[in-house]
Amino acid sequence: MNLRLAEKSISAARIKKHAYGVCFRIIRGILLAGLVFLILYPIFVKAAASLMSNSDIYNPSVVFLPKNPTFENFITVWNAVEYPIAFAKTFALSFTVGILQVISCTLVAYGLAKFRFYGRRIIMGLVIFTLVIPTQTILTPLYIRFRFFDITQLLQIGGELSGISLINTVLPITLLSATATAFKNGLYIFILLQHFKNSPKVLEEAAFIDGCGRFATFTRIAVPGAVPMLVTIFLFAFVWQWTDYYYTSIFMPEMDFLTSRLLDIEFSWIAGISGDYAISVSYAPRVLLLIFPLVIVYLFTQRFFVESVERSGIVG
Amino acid sequence: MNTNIKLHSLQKRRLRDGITGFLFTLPFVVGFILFIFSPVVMYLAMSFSKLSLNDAGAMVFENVKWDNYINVLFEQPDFLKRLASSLGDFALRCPAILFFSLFIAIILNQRFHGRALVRAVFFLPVLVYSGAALMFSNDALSNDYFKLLSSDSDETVNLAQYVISVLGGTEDSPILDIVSTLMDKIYDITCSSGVQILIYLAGLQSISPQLYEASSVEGCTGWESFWKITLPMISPMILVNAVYTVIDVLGNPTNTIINTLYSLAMDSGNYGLSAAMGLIYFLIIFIILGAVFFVINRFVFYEENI
Repeated sequence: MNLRLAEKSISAARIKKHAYGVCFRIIRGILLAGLVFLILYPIFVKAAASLMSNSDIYNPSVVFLPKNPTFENFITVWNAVEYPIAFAKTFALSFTVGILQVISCTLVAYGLAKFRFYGRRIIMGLVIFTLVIPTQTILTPLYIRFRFFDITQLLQIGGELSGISLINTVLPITLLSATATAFKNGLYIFILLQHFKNSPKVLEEAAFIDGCGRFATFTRIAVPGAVPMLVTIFLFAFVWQWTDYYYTSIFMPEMDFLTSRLLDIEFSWIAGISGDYAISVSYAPRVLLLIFPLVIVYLFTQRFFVESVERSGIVG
Repeated sequence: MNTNIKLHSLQKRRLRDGITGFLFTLPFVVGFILFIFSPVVMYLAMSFSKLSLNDAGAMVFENVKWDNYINVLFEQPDFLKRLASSLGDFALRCPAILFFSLFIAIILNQRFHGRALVRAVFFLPVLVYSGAALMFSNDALSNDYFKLLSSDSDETVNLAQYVISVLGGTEDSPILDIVSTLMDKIYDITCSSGVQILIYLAGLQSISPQLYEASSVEGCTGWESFWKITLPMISPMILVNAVYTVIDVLGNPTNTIINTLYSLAMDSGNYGLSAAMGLIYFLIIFIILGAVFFVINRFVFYEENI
């Protein structure tokens, strides 16, 4: 008798749980659909605008969807910026810079997280400091540094500088990336620092006892365990280099990367363009051509996430 | 004698560990000394000077002591007002972004159909709100973003207006106002949370599945395992996101103070004043960061402490 009652109550609990699960899924679905709409709507508007032909722009009955959709705008921009060349250059730079930043930031973060030494807290403070000071405030002195680059004068403050110009080479951005002082690198160091602080010590000690050196422990235990973090950081570094305009326009003004090409093409490339509306039509294909490749890169990096989850069963 | 030797070798090992640690951080130390230190010193020097160009076109620093600082604090009437409004806005937005992004990251970490695509959509704000893309979509920052494109730019149609008019409401009903402000606010928070969501997601991905397996074997409910596993394991990333959100909200180029800084330097050529204002502002950001760090770090779970 008692057993039957218990069985009944268990099955009732199961139904209740199932009902909760369904409710939860419906609410989650509605919420996500709403937010996805909110994010995508402006981009759809841009996509629609960039497909408009000249006759649609001046047709008052065209509100949202173009009546004579055309790829003409994309083709104009594509040819004007010599898209394939600019794309290849930007991709090569973003990829290199991304890898360099991931390596340098991982090293610094590991050193700060796993070792005790004098000045550790000061270095941590300086890392946050580089994040607080906006890039633009120190960009001019930094430009002077690289305009008159001389290894012997690097510590000199003020005064006359004489040296070779590194402007219009990739060296400034490479040097900054290799020394973990490029755009938002403080954030990457901080993310990895927090991650390494929380990664299990047991595994590292085991590796150490088994005769792994400090560096081997780092490359064989710490780095594989941090793959989701490293992928995320690479993604940030890649994206922010790809869309960067400040550094590129100051250190490499004549190197024709995608952002500067897209920003520099003649403002009014649509015949007889005028008014806010027409301007936004001219912006739309450019911003889409800029960000679309990044979505592909993102979807590609997702594969690393899935793999790393499986791997973390061994590592974590 | 024996203990002496032991002590000695322990000290030696510590020293060697310390040196190894320092070598790991060397890239940043070198980079800071070479590329950050002197520009920052120059910025500091600028804040105490009046800058002008001499006949040869070179910058001349004229020492004016604390004049620029006094000017910022007492003679710029808008500064304190702008500072107050920017901090007020920050106090509301920062917690909202932190909670929202954690919530979304947890949802995006669950299994459901089309997860990869939904994640890609939540990645879009990071793209649209960065660098050159921002220059093209400055209109994205204005409040009336939910305009439908119309060829007559003076008479733009608001999306919410459109929906309500389709449903048979009048154009200036109070519901409309509420709906459109709400949409704007949610949109604003969503777009400012892109980076934070990615950081949380990476944190969630790093939690070992073994922990969840063990807890479900022990009979934990989902709710319990959230409080006992997910939250402690993600807490180091909560600190990261709190610090980043403070810096991002207060230091991004659309912030009123940052805007003032640039316009003072670039438009009016008043570099000294701009530097002084900047340094005061960055000091305030540092104090806020210190407070945030101190409070949140006490609740962060670090594995090495057990």
